[in-house]
Amino acid sequence: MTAAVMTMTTWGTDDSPAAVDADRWLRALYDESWASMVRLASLLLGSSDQADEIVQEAMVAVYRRRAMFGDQSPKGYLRAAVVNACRSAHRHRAVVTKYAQAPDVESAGPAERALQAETSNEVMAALRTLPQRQQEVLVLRYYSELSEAEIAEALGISRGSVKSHSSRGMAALREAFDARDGGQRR
Amino acid sequence: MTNEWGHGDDDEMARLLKGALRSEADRVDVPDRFAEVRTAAQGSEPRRTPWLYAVAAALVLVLGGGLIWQTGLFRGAESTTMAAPAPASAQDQGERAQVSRAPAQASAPAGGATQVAGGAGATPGPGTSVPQATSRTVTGPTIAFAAPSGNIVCLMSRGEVACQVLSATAWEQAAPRPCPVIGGGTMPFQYDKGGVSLTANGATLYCGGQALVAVDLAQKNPATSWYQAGRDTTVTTPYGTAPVLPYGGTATTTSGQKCSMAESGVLCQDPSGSAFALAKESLTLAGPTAATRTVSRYITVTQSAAFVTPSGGIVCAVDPSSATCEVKQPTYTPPAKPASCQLEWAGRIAVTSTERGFVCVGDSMFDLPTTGSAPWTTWFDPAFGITVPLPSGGQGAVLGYGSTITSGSYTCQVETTGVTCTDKAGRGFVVTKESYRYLP
Repeated sequence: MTAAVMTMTTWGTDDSPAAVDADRWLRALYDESWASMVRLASLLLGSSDQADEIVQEAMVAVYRRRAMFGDQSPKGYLRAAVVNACRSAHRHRAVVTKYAQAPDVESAGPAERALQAETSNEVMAALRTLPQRQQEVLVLRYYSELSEAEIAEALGISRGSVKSHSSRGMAALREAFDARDGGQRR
Repeated sequence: MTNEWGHGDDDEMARLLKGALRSEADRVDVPDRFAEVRTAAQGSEPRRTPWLYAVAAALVLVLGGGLIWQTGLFRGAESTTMAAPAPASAQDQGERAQVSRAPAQASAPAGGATQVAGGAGATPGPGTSVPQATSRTVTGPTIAFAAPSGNIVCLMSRGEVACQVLSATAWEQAAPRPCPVIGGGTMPFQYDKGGVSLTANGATLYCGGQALVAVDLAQKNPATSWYQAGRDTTVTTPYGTAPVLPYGGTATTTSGQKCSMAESGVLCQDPSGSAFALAKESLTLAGPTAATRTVSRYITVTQSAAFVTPSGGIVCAVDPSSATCEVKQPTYTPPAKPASCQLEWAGRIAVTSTERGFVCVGDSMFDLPTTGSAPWTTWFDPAFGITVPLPSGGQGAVLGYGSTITSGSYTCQVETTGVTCTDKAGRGFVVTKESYRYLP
């Protein structure tokens, strides 16, 4: 809904992108995308370190090219830039895993929080064992809730590849998770 | 049902992955960096105007711009257009560095040890398999265990300890209600139970227990991986077959929280100093420092119990057939003294099944709550309890503000606003140094 509102109220307010006030354009992009992109980058990196810096640089790059978007939302372009930057960051640094830290999960009570966090940590640990591309597809699918086509666009791969990575990733995730649990999880 | 992905979004793995990703994303601290983004964005592009100035220039030229050229205006525009994009300044980089978050590595303070004492609740009940009392030391990031009785189960995980007594108790009713069930539906065991939670922020009552199913060995949860068949024993609980932490055993997590099992109950401590002592019939919550160790207790006794209020101004005794309080130096005006009373008439008020009102007395209750071996102070837990001087010179067992003590049909509750003693129907009295009134 936010994106739809943005499209109506900001991207489409002027016929010419060049006439749009640059600061307002940037503010709208920031308000719509900043938090979700920082979270997405954190999930892709496996750490919140560098996530905001990566998103900032991607946002600046999108801002520089704002004229090319016209009245279209630049969010897809921004997402692709963030995903690419995260992949580059993966190549250049060791990932610091932080999943042993105490989580802050909203739920009914302390016992529930503990078990939920434990399960989440196990799932995330299993996710981290997958190839990077499979992780990206699963994060975009199950966190960003993108369609197959949108993921293909964000990753610059075919829809068939997206489906393949998703299917293999989920199978590997089940296998890794079940192995941790001894296949007994209810 | 499958979707474009060829598998169902509603299968368990997909649901777990969604939940895990959402939880993980929610944990991300998202700083507001619009100022930095704007500075970097504005500094990243060429200075104004390629196409606007180009159009203007064309018009100028077409319209005979020689004159304009001579004024230098267009030259100014041209030079602006050709200026190199300004790089992000050193200051920008510095601000960026400054807003980068430092790793949050809170170090746990060293904690003091407290010995378990008091209470009665971890002792085995009928029909339970009693293991031998052997010392057992358990360590790990997450630990779940049951008391030998099967009446207490605990889960220590991620800086938090959650324990629950599985039989109905007086204190348990103080837990907040209703208990929500995650995802709705019903649970295959009694879920609507009060529990006690311990974190660095203190010990509190909570309502829940759904996740204590982690104590079930069949779950193969990492929290029960400490269990060794042949060495450790198990006990049947409503949550399943659980590994037993024997009497004298201790469980310590890598985050520094420690639980000790005793026949009298389980004592859990946080490195911050907060602690609770949990038993079938009593719960003691203790703050992290001596100053805050004015405990809240929910105590049930089977015989008599006597206590003094934290101010030392009121002593009360409760037993299965009555509740009585005595005010040291009341300032209120009591009812008219009956002609039959030749003794003291002002300080003592009582409720029984047949009577309620002031009592004509020739003795004092102020020596009753002396800590020691008297049966009416066995409820007192010296590990957590505080005492105040009594007129006799002894130390009185204090029932802290917010605490209740129940014997049979009668309950007394201590609050800063006074002591309330009632029967199960709510009939009784409220008394302070300055006032009294009957309930209802």
